Amino acid sequence: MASRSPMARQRPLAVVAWAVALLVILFFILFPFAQMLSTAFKGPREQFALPVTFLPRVPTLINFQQAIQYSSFARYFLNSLGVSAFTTVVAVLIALLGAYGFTRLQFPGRKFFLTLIIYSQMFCLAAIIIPIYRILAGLQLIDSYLGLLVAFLTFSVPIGVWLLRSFLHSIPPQLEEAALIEGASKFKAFWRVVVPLLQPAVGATGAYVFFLTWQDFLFPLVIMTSKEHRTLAIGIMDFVGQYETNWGNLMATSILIVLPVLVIFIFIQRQLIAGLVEGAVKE
Amino acid sequence: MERSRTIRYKWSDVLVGYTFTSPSIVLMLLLIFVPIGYSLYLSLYDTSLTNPTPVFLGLKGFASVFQNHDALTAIRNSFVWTILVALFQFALGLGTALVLNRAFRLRWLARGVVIIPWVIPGVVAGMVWRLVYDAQFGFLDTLLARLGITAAHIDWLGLPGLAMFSVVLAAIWKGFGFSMLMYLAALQTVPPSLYESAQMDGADGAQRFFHITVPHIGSVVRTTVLLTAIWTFNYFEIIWVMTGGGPIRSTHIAPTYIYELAFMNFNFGNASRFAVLSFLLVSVASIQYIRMIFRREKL
Repeated sequence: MASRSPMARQRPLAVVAWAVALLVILFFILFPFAQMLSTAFKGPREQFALPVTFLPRVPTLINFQQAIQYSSFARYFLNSLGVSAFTTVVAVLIALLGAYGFTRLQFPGRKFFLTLIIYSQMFCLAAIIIPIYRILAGLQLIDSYLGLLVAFLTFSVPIGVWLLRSFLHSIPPQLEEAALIEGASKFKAFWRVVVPLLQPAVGATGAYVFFLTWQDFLFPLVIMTSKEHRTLAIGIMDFVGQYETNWGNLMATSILIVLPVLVIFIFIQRQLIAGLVEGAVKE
Repeated sequence: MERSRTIRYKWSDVLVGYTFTSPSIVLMLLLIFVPIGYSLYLSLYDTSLTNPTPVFLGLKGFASVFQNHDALTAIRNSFVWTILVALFQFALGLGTALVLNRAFRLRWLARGVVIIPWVIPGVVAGMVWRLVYDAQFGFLDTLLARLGITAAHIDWLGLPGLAMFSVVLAAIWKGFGFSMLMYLAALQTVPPSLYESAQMDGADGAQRFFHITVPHIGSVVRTTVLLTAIWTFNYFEIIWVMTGGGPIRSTHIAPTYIYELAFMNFNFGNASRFAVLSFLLVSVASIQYIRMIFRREKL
């Protein structure tokens, strides 16, 4: 029984210190969310009333209603959804092949190219934003969904390779070797043995890529020059006025943007965290 | 046989290996390495709105970066920003991991809550903190006034001396959950029997921490700090959304400064010179990081 309650053995002072630390951390994390939620549920008059109330005196859903009815919102939402979904499919396909090749096959230049890809994943994207813009402009791809998709591949492919590689490390190579001995080709062993086993990992990687592109800011800011092509992350700035910001609408919209991300994250967190931990500290 | 320097490749491995990896390799060459070459080329020319035909400058342009007051401010800010954010994400991440490494009811919930800021979009985080820091409607000033600490309306993002620390705090909040995850995973690999035998030998908490915990998680800490430093250096949106680099350029860091030079002032030459410098700096850190992780895996 003693081992089941480790706190019982500890000095009370240590337990108090621990509890205080936990409360301070939780307060720091939750404080901004308190303002976000409170403001989102305040009516148009109360959000600008002084002194500021911590809890809305008259809670209302009007901000959410206005956010959804805001004519551009649906447009931004579909833009984000479309570009992120297509990027995810393309990036995961390319990354899956790449990760398998780099992990399981021996060929000249393997280490060099793998280093190149891992290096790309940490690249300072602001350092190439000008050439990317100019190249896309040369291809007439500025302000187009395809242009944004291509730009998103700069970070989603290396991250995909990196994550899938860490997942592949947890699959014993003996399984494929058995298939190879039975006469299957390399490609067949990959397709019939590895891909089915990797399914949860592919799901987690895909969700992570989706989640990164969904919230990316710099590329859509530079590439999507017209209003109707903006993604949600940029569109949210519509509520920021030069003189006055509609904080209620802005926070309600923020909550609506965050919700899908949180839901995805709850579903993939176990897989994703295992992959990130493995991938970030050892290859 | 495997240990010999020359690896004997099987032709089927080589063929399938190149087929599988070429899409990602070609994409990275086209999307990262061709553009970097282009940036290098642009950085040697003077191209700006007032100067429609690019004039060759050579490396002289780089010398002028170090004489430009705004550029020097952005370089200094980049260092302050990266070091402070990475350092406090380490400290807070490790502290939180230690707090959460002990069993208690609802631990899963506390862990989930700590990761939320890392999960939400940077734009949203930036906007929420902008509201928290607001001198009229922000909860921070309101709370400080209620507690009687200060009654003044402090403009956290509007004062040049203060704005950098305000954005640093927001960035620490946004990212330390990732460090916490890494450290928590590392702490859980320390065998509990080590602590038990140390306790029986009469080691106190601090001794156990420095002689058992630190050596076990040291290498994870080093890689995580380096990785978060690289990410922080490259982080664009939280500062862009909160201050746009102001007031009086006091929060401009490399990515925001490059954006302003290129897409607001249309000075592609200066922007490229700054881009090349940032690229070199990040590369040094990235190569160090790659060496660290490859050391753990036989390649």
